[in-house]
Amino acid sequence: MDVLSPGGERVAQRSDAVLARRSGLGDRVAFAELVDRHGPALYRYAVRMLDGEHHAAEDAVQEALTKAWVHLGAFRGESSVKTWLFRLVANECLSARRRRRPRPVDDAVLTAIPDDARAAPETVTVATDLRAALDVALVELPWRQRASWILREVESLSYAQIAEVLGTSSTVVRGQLHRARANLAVTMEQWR
Amino acid sequence: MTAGSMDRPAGEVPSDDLAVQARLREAADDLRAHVDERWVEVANVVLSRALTATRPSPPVRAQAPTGPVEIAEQVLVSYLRDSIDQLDDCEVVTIGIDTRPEHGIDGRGEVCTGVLVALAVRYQTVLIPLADRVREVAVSRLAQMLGPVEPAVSVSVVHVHIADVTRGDPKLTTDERSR
Repeated sequence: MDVLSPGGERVAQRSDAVLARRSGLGDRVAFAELVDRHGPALYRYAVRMLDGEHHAAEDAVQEALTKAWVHLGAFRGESSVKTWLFRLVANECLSARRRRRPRPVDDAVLTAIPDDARAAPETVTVATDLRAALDVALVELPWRQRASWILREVESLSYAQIAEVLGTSSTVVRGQLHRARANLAVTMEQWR
Repeated sequence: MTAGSMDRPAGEVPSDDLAVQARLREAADDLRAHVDERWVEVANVVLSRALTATRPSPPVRAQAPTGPVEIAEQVLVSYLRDSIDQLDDCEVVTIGIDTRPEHGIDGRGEVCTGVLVALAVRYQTVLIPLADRVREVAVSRLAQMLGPVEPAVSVSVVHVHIADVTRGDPKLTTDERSR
C-alpha cells in the first residue's frame, strides 16, 4: 500500500508503533496500513491453526482485528504491535477450537481402511506441492507445537514473543519447538 | 530423527536428516512468502467490518445553532489529532479530554473543561512556539466542533505536554526505532 496521509507522508514508511499510536487516536488510514502489513500473516496463522478451515479463520481474524481497532487506544506498546496482533488472533483461534463440538459420523467412516488403499506419500507428492505437504504435516501436530513452529519458523518471532502470544514461558516454547521439529521431520521424511 | 539414526556415531548428522531439514526450511520459506488467496478476497471486507466497531466513548456537550448536542469524546480526539497532524516536527502521542458533569436547563451533561495534548517532537525543535501553535490549532478545532459552549474554549484549557523526543521524524518512527 502506498497511501498518502493528509500531511503528505507516505503511510507505508511509518513504523508499526507510530501506526498503532495513530490508530489509537482514530486514524483509519494508519489502521488499514497495519492490517495490510500484518493481515496476510495473521490469516496464514489462523488457517493453519484451524486445520485449513478458511471460514473459521476469517471469523477469527475478523474478531481479532475488530478488538484491535476498539482497544488500540489503550495499547501502550509494552509488546510489539505484531506480537499483540498475533496474541489476539491466537486467542480467537483457541476460542474457535473450544467451540467446536464433536460431530456424529457415519459408521462407514470408522471402518478400517486397508493399508494398500492409502495414498502413498510419493503419489501425493506428485499431486501437491511442498506447501500442501507442510499443511498436512502441520495438521498432525498438537496445537501448541504447531503454533510454536509456525510463529518461529514462518513468522520469525523470538522465543519470548511466542511465549507472550501463547501465554506461556520461553522454556515451554523451546520444548514445544524441539518436539515440533522432530515430529515434522518424521512426517516430512515421507515426502522426500 | 529418522529411523536408523541410532546406528550412526554420536555427533554425526545423517545426510537424510539434513535433507529433511532443508526441505522443511524450504517449505517454511515458501509458506512465509505465500499470501492465501482467500485473504486477498476478504481483506477489504474484514477491514471495513473492523472499522465499523464503536469504541466506548463518553459524550461531550456541544452547542449547535439548533440547540445542544452531544459529541463522542473519541470524535473530538480524532478531529483534534487530524488538525494537529498538519504541523511539522511533532506527532500526537495522546489526547485527553477533561470533562465535568453539569446540570443545565435541558438536563445533565458532560462539558469540556480542558484538553491535554501529549506530543513527540523532533530533537532540536524549539518547543515554546510549537506548543503555542498546537494550542491555537486545538482551540480553533474545538471551537468549530463544540460551538459557543459555556465555559468557552480558550487556550487556557489546552495543555501541551512533550512526552517524547525523537532523532528522526516523529511522524514516521518512535524514539526506540530512531536510535
